[in-house]
Amino acid sequence: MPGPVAIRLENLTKTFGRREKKRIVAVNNVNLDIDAGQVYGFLGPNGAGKTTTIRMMLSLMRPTAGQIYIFDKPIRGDSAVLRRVGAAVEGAAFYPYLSGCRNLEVIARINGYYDAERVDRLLRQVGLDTRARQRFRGYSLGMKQRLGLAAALLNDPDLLIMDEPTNGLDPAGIQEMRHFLRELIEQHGKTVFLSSHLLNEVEQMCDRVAIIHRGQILREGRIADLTQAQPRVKIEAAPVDQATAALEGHYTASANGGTITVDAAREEIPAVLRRLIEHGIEVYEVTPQRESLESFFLKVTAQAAAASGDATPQADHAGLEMTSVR
Amino acid sequence: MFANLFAGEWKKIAGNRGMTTLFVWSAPIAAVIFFAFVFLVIALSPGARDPSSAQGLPTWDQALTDTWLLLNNPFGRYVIAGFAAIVFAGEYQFGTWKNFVPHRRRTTLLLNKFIVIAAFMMFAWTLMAVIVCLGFGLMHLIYGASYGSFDGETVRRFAGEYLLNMSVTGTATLIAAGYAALAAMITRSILSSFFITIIITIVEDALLLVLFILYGLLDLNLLRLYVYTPSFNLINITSWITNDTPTPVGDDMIPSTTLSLEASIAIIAAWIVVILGLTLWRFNRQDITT
Repeated sequence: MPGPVAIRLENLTKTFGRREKKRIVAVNNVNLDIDAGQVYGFLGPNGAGKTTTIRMMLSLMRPTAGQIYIFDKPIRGDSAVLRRVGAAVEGAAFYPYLSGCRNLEVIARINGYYDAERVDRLLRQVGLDTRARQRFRGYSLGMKQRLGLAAALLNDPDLLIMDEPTNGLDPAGIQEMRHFLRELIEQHGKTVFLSSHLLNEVEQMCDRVAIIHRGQILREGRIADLTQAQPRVKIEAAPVDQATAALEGHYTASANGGTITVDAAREEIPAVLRRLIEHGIEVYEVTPQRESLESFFLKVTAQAAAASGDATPQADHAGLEMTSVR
Repeated sequence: MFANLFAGEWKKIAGNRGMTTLFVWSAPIAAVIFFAFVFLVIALSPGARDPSSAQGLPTWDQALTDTWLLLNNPFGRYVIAGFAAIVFAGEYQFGTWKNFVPHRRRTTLLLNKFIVIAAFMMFAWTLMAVIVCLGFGLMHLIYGASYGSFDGETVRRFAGEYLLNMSVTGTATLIAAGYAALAAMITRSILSSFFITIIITIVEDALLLVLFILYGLLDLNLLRLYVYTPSFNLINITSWITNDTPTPVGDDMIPSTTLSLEASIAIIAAWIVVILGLTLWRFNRQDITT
């Protein structure tokens, strides 16, 4: 039986510009159902519509068309359900002249959930307790992100929406954030919706992902299902050029240094090896490969760019700002 | 709940010490500096201690009420406008609306700002009036002069006038804050909304001059338009209540025009409703993109 739905987007559309010629469709008829109790990744190149979608989910922007439901309640007209949501959108934004602690106090008081003990506890949890009295303007990028996380958790939300939560964090900070978010799910039953450019992080943190490109959802599903759709095997063999030639016409294979990568399912591996040996190729090592989320993402977005007739599909990739933290 | 809403906004604004010192606390600070200088002169100059110097000093009730007149003028409105522009536009400039908009109704957030801005102004200027009253009281004490009678009639009259001045200043604050809020929502920048608000306030104050010039150059009598401005009506209301007479507009060159107290109150109320309504309408439809 499926769990409760934390977020439901129905035909969500957002256009900017009134004149026909200048109209930009930032989000185009997006439909998504996100079950509660999971970490959900929202991926896309810069300008794909991720932040616009998140802003509409938080009532910061009005959708041009469509409907958003949070825990089965529509947010248009009655945003009371948003009190169950915590969010950090597009970087931490606070008053530079106030301390971290005072910033949290001000937010909690105005939003109607002030609890001094909770503020102190959250500052401890995000590792800012010793710098809590320092002005926000003196914080490093990592400290700002931590304060943003604390602010998002002030109301003990059931749904946490994070836009690039690991930006500016060092590797240890990223790992802490990952553990922190997983703990929220596993021990406290929260739902986390996050957008990130750090695809390796998303792969480690998220249960499911959606890939958005030019305002449209290209793929959605469990990461394991998406990346196993095209199984691969890496074969260390010699001579490589002859090995590639032996497989030509039967399998998709590409040479890379002393290895070849072959698109083949597990059950096809014996046939591939037999073919190589029959052609006198020496085989030293065979490693089944799972496609990384990063390469899957690049492939899917490149295909979408090509299909939409973009003459320079690589331009999208240039804007990815992807950082590998392997 | 309201207490937390108010306290949150108050602490947020008060934390910006540079801004509050310049636009809010400068009034009581100026009063303290003024009296410090006066007492220094009295201490150093034997002539200044002459009891005859007490003549012309205000009585306690005049000291308290007349202080507000210092602020019910164009300069006072520039101060309010500058302060409000920074408070409203600051949310856009720092990108902080997104911390509140998902959890609070936009109308509540905006009205709370108006209330807290007015509270800051009222508090600072009440403090200034008290400092001025104490300062003159001390001077009367030095000169051994009477500081005015404290009978029931005087206190009653004082209370009425004091409340009137506070209300007029409060109304002026709301209108100037409304201009500032609207400018902030359109420009989303502290500096731009600050200048736009000041310009609107100056234009409003200078409208009479422009209309006079038009009349002189083109024989076009649009003077009647001036009586619909907030500044004229605030002056007119004060004049009606303190002197029981209207403030006339015009001179020998052009027909004089006057407004009744009720008409002025109605015009001011209409201004407040229109400005606040426009601000709320704009804010409720706005995409928060920063």
